[in-house]
Amino acid sequence: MVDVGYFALCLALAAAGYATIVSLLGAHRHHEGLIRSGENALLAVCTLYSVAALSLWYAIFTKDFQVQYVAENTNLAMPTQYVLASLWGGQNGSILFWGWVLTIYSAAAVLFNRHRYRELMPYVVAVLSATCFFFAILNIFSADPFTRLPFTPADGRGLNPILQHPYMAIHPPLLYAGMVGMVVPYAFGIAALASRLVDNTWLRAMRRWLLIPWTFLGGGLLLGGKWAYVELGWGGYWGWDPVENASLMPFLAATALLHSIMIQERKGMLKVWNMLLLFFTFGMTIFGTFLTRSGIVSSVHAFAQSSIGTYFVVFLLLIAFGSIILLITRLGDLHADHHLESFTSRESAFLLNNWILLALLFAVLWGTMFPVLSEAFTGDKITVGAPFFNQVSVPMGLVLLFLTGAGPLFAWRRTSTDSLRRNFIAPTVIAVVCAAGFLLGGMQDLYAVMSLSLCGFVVGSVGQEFYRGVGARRRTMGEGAILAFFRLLSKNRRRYGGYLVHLSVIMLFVGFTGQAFTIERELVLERGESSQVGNYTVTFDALAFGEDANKSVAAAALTLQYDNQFLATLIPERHFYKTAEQNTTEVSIYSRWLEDFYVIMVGIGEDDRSAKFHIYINPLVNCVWWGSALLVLSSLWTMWPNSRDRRMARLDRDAVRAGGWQPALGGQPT
Amino acid sequence: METILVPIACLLLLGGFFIAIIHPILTRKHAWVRPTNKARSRIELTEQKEQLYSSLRELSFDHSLGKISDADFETLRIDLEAQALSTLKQLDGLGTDSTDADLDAQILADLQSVQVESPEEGAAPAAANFCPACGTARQPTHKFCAHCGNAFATVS
Repeated sequence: MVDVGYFALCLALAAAGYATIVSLLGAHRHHEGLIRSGENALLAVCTLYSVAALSLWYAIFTKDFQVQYVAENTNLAMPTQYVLASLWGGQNGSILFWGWVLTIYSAAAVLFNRHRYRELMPYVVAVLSATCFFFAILNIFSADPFTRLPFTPADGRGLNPILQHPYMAIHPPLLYAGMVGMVVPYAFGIAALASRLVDNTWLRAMRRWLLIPWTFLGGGLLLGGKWAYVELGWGGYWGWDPVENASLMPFLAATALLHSIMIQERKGMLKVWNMLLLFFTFGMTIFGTFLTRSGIVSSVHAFAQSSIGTYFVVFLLLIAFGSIILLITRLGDLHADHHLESFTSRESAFLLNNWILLALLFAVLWGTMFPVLSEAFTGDKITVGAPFFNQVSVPMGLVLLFLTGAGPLFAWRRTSTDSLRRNFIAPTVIAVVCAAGFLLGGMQDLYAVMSLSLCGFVVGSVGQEFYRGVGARRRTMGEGAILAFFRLLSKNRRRYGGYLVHLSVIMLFVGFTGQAFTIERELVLERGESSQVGNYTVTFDALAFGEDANKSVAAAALTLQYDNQFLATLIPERHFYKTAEQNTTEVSIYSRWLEDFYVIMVGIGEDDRSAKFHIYINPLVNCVWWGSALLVLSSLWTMWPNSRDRRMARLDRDAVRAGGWQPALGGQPT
Repeated sequence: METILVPIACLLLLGGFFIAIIHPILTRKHAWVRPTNKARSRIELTEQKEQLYSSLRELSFDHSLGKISDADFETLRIDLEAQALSTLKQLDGLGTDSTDADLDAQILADLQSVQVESPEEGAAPAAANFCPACGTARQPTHKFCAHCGNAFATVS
């Protein structure tokens, strides 16, 4: 079966190359047959990649250890559900998986636009298939997952133990879906430039293709955080690891882009800026992949050092120079239709948001690349840790938080001082009351006070929008409050759905702020001994050992009490994976509404009577998980097509049907 | 068994691929099917119109919420209406060759009808006076569009 997979990969490479050339040729010669042939070739690339991925899965499931990738990433003892995840658990498989997701996006872009945006599609197909071509090259020449060993080992090495976790089965696919998906909006941007059709058509075409990967990326990042929280056992969920940063950077760029395309849609401004942001977003996804795969930065989840980096550097340079040169040749077409009319406007708030997001992105980029740069220039590898990132990101995050609340209070184009005063008064009062309350309540961390008060400000601002909107509907439509609320949400999804996204951001920030109040203790307990941590009492009851084919397990039983009331029995574990000869910790968490009690068993005494525990009390951490769920749901709500989208879609299709058909080859349609 | 299946599977993939890429070249020997420039302009203008209507609705809604002062509202409304007027005129110029003397009056009436009390993207833009399919002005008594033949909904 792996031979079929390898053959499919090679054919996919040829098909992707063919699709790129024939689409461009079709556009050049105005030949519908060639254009459709290019599209079919891209659909074939998706089919072939699916065959390749399925054949690798088949080899993994049948434990065909003669295949090097299978031998390195699975073993006989591994539970079935993690065998599934082995497809993306190692370097070569993950590149194959990446390419597969890419081809699925590409095929979806082709299938959804069989009758729409026909003037852009040949170029879109060319960009998508060129990207597929690059990944096929990687898979065949540098990261071949189908390489056979000269012998067949009796057993494999197994998947890295820390990856053997349920969250790990869904976090990488989500993250990949987010990173890879950015190629579609990029392809539409390049298509708009190449075809010189730089009006709003391509923005309309790509908005949803940007929102989908943005949602996946956001969800994937936060699930990754959840995985780190429950699996890595250091009490937190975000460690500014280079690989985390690699997926945060495109998320920041895409967030900036999502806001600034609204200005272009409404006012025809920022055309060049949006193109640059789009290039940057896509470039960051490729750069992030390069960081993770090339091994140039050391990270908990970077893959081994390999030659793959060179390919990425070449591809990145091609993207950067190609895109910028194309942009420069089209600068004449990208004049702004309007200019900024006033600094007190929604546009200005969005622009400021863009700058801060980009500043944050560059700070993260600088911190991530600093070890590489310092090594290149001084010979010493200087790593910047979480303190650097926190120092720069916290103030910028606070400004972003303020803008999240302030942006909606400004009207488009201009807002008079009088209106500003009226709109700001309630949110500001809430923020001030919050700040006073926290300070009087004895909160000492200034950043935490600011953050939570600003959260109050945003809740005030969004709440005011909903309150006034519901009020207006009740007055004019005579609806009840609940009905008015739902109508408000469903009749203007982009605006009110956007506000829901802002509320989810608030929940995230509240969760992040909770870190300022984390209580951390290290305890060595004898069996039967108790200790007080915060208002909790933990008692170390028992220690037990077990073993299965994959690992040996040591588990401690701890009784947790709060104000002398029994809460739960916590069972933190230590696992020893035999094949990988690696220890991991399984944390035990007791989750309450407002805080988590988080226990890691760090070590066991020699006589098996005592054990060392690391305990964290993490306040507000659940807000992060609820916030991320709300983020995903509310962005789905926002992107769901409304009747205006459907009307425009019908118009697009009718225009192609009615307008473009010409009986013979040649000539521009009139 | 696998020694036979593998070449067969590879041949099937190869055959399928060739059929997929050659079929369109053989069957679609005509020019690039895409909107004409006129159709593109119509789509662009229609979108601009939808955008402006939605901005007008939002402006009017925000004004009713007290978010925008009366003075701001008036200036922005007049400006948006002027833009919408010019867009509608361009759209009308594309759609029909007739020169309707009542066009300006109709457009103005239409714009006023846009300013409902809720920023409903879902509502058909100014359903009463324009064809939702092609954007051509319609008489209130018409049941079908004079330009494209689209049947109007029961709104009048």
